[in-house]
Amino acid sequence: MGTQMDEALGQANLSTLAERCNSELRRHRRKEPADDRYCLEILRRAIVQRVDQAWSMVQQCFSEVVRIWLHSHPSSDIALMRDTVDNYVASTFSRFWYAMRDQKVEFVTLNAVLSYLHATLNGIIMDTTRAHLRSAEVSLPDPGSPQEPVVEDSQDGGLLLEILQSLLPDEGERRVMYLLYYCGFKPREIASRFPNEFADVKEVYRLNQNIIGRLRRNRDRLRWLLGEEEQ
Amino acid sequence: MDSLHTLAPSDEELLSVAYDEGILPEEKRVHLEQCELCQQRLASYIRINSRLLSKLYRSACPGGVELNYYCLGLVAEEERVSIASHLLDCPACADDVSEIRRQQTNFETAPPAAFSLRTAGRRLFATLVVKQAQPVIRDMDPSKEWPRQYRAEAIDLSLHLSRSVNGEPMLLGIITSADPTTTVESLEGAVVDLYSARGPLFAESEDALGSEESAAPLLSTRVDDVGNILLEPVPVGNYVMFVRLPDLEVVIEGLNID
Repeated sequence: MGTQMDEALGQANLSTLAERCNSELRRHRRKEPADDRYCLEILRRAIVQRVDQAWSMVQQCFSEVVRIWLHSHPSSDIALMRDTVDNYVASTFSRFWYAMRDQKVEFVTLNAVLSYLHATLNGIIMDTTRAHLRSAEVSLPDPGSPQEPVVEDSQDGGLLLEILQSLLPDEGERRVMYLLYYCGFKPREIASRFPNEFADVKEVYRLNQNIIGRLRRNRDRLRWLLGEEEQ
Repeated sequence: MDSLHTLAPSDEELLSVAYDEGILPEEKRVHLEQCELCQQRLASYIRINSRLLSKLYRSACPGGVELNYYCLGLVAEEERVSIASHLLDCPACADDVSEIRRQQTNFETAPPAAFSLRTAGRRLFATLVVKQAQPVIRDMDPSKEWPRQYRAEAIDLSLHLSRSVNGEPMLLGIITSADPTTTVESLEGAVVDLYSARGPLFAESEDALGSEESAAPLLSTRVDDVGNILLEPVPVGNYVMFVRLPDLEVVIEGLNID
């Protein structure tokens, strides 16, 4: 019986599968028992067999649910300030496709498909909010501009952190630089989360002031970072 | 900076202001408001903090998608070890992973129903049936009169606006089908959602569509065993009703409750 059904599914045309998939997704949304096999079959054709039309169908079938997740995400306001709904949906499917292909994931339930798709969108929104936090602060010099660093700046953020920390002789200052500027914690949060490392928030402010003082003393090397006004 | 006024805030105090965490004593706050030099000192701290943050913030952390996949066990062995190692050192990523795991545990794979024209399987907009025999009164708008009769293919929906015992408006409906093969039992249990309609529904623009999609129904109910629908209380406003039948969604627009 199961084998016959599998054969029938394997021979079904894509339009029929998409229609059934949409219908089952609606049942799923109403929390009614749904037959996952139609959705899984389209996905199999799209990812395992790499049938372009099947992939288009997958996107058509699942795009509404991705849109709903996007609009109900706690960071949707920030996300939608930076890009359009269509682009988020497209990015979600794109990242999802590569992940499924690279990891050779074999889905056995519709819930698993939805979980992975949701994880993809959630990750994209997290990346967007991180980028928003960086870019919301200041605009840095354009590449090639006179303020652009010659040696010290680096696209490798980890390396840049190491370079800046190398200017700080004190372990506490290096730690505060990491927690403040790399992790993005506020001084008060640092003091409360790491009471074994810092006596109180005043110590964090003091170390922060030391950091800035030392960077200013290296202003010749850090003009790109400190800006002309810090000279 | 060597000859600061005695009331000038210290560097640490200015940093607390820069992070929006500190409360200056009144006399220092007044001084800051009036002293250009101290304002420049504060601006400089804000600027340098912003520049450092913009360059360093999470700049070597795994991406959000990678962290989400990591939590689902969907990353290769090498990447899994690398992320696990990173998590030991990075409290920001550890926070993220904790939050992702919480979300994944509580993840509802069936999101609340929402409406979108683009991907609906079969969705019909019901049309208002105007009773021809009704006397026509000058300035009468049939779309504002009650009761109303709507039709979508074989589905008929009669809607009445009434009031509950405590005077609150309520919508009463009865749904039937002109198709003899569709019994009232087959309509039983269908979900009926009432949404607030902010502006023209299904506008062409992405923004308008997006705002409607994000809406949660104001009221929901189900069709009972004889085809009745009851929604209450319905505040004054403009609404759109969705009747979600097994293979068809019927949309009733322009429900204005005055």
